[in-house]
Amino acid sequence: MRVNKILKQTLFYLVVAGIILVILTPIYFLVVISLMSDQEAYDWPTQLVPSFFNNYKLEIVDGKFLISVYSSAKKKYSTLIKTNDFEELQKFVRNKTNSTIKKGIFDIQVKKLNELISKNSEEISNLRNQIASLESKLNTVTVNLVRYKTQLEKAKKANMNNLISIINEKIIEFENEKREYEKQIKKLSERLDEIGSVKFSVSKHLFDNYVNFFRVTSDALPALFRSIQVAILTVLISLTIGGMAGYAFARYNFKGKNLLKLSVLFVRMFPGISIAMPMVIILINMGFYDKPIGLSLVYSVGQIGMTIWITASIFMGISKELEEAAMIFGTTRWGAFFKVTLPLALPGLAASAMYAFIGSWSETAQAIVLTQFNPTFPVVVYQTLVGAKGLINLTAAGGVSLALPAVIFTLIIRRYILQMWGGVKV
Amino acid sequence: MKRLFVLLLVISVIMAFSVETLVVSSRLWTPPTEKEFILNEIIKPFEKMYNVKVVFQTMDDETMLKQVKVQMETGKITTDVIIAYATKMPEWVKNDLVVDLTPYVNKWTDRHFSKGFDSMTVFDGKRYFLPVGADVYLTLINKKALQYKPANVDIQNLTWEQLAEWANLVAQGEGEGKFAVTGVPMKSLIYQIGAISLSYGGHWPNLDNPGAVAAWYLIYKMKDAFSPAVKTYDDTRPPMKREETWMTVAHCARVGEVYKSNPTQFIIAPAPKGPAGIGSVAGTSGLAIVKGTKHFDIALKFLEYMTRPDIMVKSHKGTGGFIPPVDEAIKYLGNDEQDQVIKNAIKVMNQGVLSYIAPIWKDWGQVKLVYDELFKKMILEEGKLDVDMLELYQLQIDAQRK
Repeated sequence: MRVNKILKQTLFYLVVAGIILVILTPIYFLVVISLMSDQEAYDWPTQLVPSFFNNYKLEIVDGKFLISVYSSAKKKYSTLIKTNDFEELQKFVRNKTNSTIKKGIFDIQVKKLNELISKNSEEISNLRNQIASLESKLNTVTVNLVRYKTQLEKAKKANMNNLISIINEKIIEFENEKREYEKQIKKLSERLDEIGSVKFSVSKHLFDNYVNFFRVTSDALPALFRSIQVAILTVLISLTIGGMAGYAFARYNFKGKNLLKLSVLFVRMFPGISIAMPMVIILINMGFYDKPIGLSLVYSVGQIGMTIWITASIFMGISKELEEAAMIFGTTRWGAFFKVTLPLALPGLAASAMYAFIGSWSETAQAIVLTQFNPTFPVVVYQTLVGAKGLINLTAAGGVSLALPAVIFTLIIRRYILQMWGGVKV
Repeated sequence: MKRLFVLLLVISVIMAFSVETLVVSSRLWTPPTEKEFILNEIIKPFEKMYNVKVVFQTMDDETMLKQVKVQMETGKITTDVIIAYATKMPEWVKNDLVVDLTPYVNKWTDRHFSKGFDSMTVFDGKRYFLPVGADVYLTLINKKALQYKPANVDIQNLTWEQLAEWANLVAQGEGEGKFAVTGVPMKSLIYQIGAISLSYGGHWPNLDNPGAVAAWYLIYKMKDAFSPAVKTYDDTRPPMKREETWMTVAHCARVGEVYKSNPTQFIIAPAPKGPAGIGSVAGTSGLAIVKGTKHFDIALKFLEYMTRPDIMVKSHKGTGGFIPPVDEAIKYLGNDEQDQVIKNAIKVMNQGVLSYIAPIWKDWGQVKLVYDELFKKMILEEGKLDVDMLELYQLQIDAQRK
């Protein structure tokens, strides 16, 4: 019995943890990536926490500054740029690592590096030559080793046993040689690092991607306000029409009621874009094209059906007798609705508002067609990110920026929604 | 004080409305960094020069075409200038959506549009589009792959055979393929295989000629060299940037973007050669003026400005590595990294065996799918070269001819 209980509990918590993991992991990933620099975002395996500092290594190679940044994923320094021009170096490093190396810091490091180099110039030059020579040998050995391994596979497939042992011997020989070269290169590189480079760290601008996102996204702030406008209008239209229809469905019986109730959901079964295309001409003729009201009208078409379903079930859960009692005590029918039914229906209305808000907030396909000079925020985000495949951190910053207002709205109305799904107990 | 404030407000509103606004919709320069550069470095000086406001929007070809069609239908034309891709140009002309620019362009004596693009931008002897950014294919190698490079291989003069052997060595040595091509349907695999096919003397996009068969044989030989995640790639930039793959032959501007993200880690070179030379599919985007625009004069000035040789080089250097399709632009190239990308692309353009997307297809997307399906079925799944299958799929290509 006890074992059974433990098993059930374990299973329950596993399911809960699984659900949380499924929901939270992508959000966490998105937020973390949005705080990473280009360098970090493309390091593999991606770190779970974005860095707050960048560690740099500065060398002088072929008379030019070679700057590298420490990669936590690779556990080694990755080269960034080789140049003589400080401004170019600063700009490149800023773009790549989200840190600004100030001229003062750079000059101090250059001074240190020059002292180090002047003291060890001969050894540095020797080490670089030795490493280059060893790398060339290593390259030859690696290519031969791989070629022999390929031959071995072919020999094995062809059952050429006499060849297999010969090739195996060669492979062992090359592997030993390769290991030896790698060991030597590692040793020499460590020494070169010690006497031919300086290391320093600089703080990272954590929210650089967000700043960049708003910088490269033209019209972002006006678009944000327009989106809020569209969302509020959609909520108002769908709640007014959908709420009234929901009340009618809940309170009155008429012929074909169930069929009509089902049919209001049909519109949601069509792709939004297919509704948007004919709507363009209608909206142009109405003078609503490229205006928030036009967009909210189109969005409301889909949202009203959902609102009817939610509010109808809520109104059905509120006893009709309560309204009648209120009227007996002297209020009008409107008074009974506003003073008794409406406060009790708030959770359902809040849920409908949330659906309408989120639905209109993140909608992009219809907005692209229905706007031109006054795009909504998702449209400008889309336009910015459509070609940003090479910039996943910027994409993530755009995604988080887009989601944030909807999250805030949901948090504001969450307490009304919590009672929603089980119906309202009166 | 209050009156003064109101007066100032009214004046500023009048001033704001008195500035002529030009709406430019473009399928080019969609990446945010490119768009930012074009807005700040190219368009702003134009706005100052002519005291106009330019609304620069980026969107895909199809949306742009639909938007302008609706504007035409309703008689409310709000888009003034478009930048469309070569494959879409015939549709713009066929639907009578763009202005014939021949009489105006003939007066510009300081620039000559590269003849190679006339077949795409000139229709019935009339120039509707001005080529602005041309593209070819380039090779991109991560220096990590150098440890497997056979001694006799010169990256700047690479042959497809050498690249295939090198990629196979990398795959064998690393235990998995490190070569990137786009593997998601409807993307650019057709161009990547097209580049090989052309270098083997094949007709493109045909499958049943000796050159094309030779190209597919090479792809078959490289079957283990492709990254295991190749089916998920719709763009070779991300896997190259995160060093999941080390080699690719891809679009010059995309290669340029990866190269410039870390010039110490990557090497760029022209696309590899075959017995017929350096093969590459080339394309271009073109500027055009929408018919019925109320701002024709300023739209023409915009086109004149954007196609000036110096402006063309400036915009392409700042946005990746497109080739400026104006002959006079080449003298403005220098020696920095951006220039290297463009110079390599020009080398392919000048020396290469090039092919263009001819306007003879009912649905280019369906032709693209044939290559995707063949690659998936024949190379990735069955791992063999099946000439019968090539002939069979040729029927699907033929069915798409107009």
